Amino acid sequence: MRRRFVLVSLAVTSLVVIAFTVPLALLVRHQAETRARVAAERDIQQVGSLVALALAQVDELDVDSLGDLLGPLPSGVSVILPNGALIGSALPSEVTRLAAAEQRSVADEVEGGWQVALPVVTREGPIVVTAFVTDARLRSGVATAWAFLAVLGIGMIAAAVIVADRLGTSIVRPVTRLADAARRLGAGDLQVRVPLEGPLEIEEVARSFNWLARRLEDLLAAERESVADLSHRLRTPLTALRLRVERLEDSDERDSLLAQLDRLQRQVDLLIEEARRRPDDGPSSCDLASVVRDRIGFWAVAAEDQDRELVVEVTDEPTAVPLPPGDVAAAVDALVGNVFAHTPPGTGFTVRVENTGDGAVLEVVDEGPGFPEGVDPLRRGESGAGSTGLGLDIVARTAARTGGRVDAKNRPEGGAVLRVVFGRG
Amino acid sequence: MARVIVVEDDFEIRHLVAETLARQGHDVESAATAMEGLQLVVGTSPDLVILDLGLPDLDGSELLRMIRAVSQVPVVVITAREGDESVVRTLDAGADDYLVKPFSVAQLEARVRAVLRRAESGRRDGPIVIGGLVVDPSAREASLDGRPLDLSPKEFDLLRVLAERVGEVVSKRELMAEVWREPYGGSERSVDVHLSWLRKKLGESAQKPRYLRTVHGVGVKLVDPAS
Repeated sequence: MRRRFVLVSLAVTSLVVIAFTVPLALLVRHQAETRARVAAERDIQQVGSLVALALAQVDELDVDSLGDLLGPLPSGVSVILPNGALIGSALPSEVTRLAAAEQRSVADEVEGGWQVALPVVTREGPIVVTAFVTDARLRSGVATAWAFLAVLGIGMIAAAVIVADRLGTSIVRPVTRLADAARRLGAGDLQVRVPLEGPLEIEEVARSFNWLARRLEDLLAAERESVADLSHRLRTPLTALRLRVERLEDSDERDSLLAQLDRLQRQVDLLIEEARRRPDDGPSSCDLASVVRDRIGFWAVAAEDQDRELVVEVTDEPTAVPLPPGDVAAAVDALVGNVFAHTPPGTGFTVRVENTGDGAVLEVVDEGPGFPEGVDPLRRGESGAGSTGLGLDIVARTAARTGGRVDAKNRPEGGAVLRVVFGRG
Repeated sequence: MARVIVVEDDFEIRHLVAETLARQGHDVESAATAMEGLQLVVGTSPDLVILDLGLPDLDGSELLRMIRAVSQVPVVVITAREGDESVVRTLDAGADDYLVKPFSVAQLEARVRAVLRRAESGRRDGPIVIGGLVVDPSAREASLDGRPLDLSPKEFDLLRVLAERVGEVVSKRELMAEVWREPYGGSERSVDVHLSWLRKKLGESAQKPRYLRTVHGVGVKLVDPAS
């Protein structure tokens, strides 16, 4: 839009400038030529009358006596005697010949300039007074005048372009800002507002945009609150259910029901948490390696306590993961916690972080018995040993949020490998 | 044992809580509304009040303030809203402890036991001394052989619970109910890790225990190594 303004103004001012300056330039040149010619004609008129006066005083016409009588001639003026003798610098030409032959004043273009000749009739024949005006002389001052016109023209165009650009900016800037705000609103930044400025119509659009953003924010907040509130209200029947289940006599039945209740409760908690989470809560990305180092610091003491050999192979390279640090820490805890839950004390394990083509990778390898045959450890509720398997379920979901995945397998030499690939988001 | 009043509008929960506590040998009365609850508190001078914050006639925290105006009875609040802010507000308003819905029987028992014990030890006053280990619940400070211990809040709570029941084996499930307030399975690992940290800070190891003794398959107990 701004470029359009500039282009339009460039086109219009250029046309105007050309329309005015080209005729003006031609006129300037014509005037300069006329001035030079008139000056030359005046010169030969003067010299011609001097020649006529001189003729009355001399008896014999010769170059020296005539030259003495005439004195110094104006530049470019010559006197050609009938015998062809020449006083001055201008050379005889077709113009002087014609003037002598036809006994009238003649003017014409000649090579390198313009020549005018005036015959003075004597007894011995015509004396021709001639003036030669060089092209340079004819155009003297034209170059300067043209340069001045050009500078003036370019200056006008430049000024017009600058003014158009300013004008364009004052319209375009609020529009760009609006577009930018709309993009941010789309990306989830509900607090975005635009300042009311610029032309009236655009200010009106900005006002409507702000109203829309505010409305969206209110609606979403209300929506979140009602989801959170509903989830809170679910907690009362859940409590009653749990207390009832806990009183059941059959302990197998009770445990299985309690596990289901735990799952239900986790979902409700998750719902509340997600409803409450705002896009601007805390950082949205973190360095996998530093989170892992931090969490390993937490688990290392327990590993030492249980005589587990803990090998940490964490890269020093940056390993950015598009997740909040808390979520990554929860995934690390789930993986390491699984090693503690499913392998006997004294079993060593390795925690590895590396960069691959797919993204940052977290790997936890243990020296335990590995996953039982025929069991998919990533499926909910199948990892045994009293756990609901939800730990890995959460890890898989966390990885999936970045476009990554979790692989679980047994090593040929024994032990389980859990490999989490985090995508780049 | 103790006289307990349960103020809860939900019929099911009121009955289940009352029954659970009655099985523990407590003398339980219950109320479905705030007004009824207040009358009971004023009329019967109980040892403990269990109060749901979401009551139909009056906000639970209002009732809590009214109870506090007339009595110093320990109050355990039941709330559906977790999160630090609401908990801090509740404790500031005069609650002694809280339960977040949904809670388990174990948690209910643990909280009731802890509050009653604290009310009793409040009369006894002072920090708990076990050999060279001193745990002061009111100042939330602990020291070993005169040297202050730098404990995280969870580590301190673990130590406090174990110290309050010195010599008694406490199961990890109970510790979870007491310290973590989460009914879920699966995070017993957290108890293990925090116990490991506590052990490290007490300058001992699982192989060479002094104060913290693991009883395999049962739980942990805190003992005086000298005795």
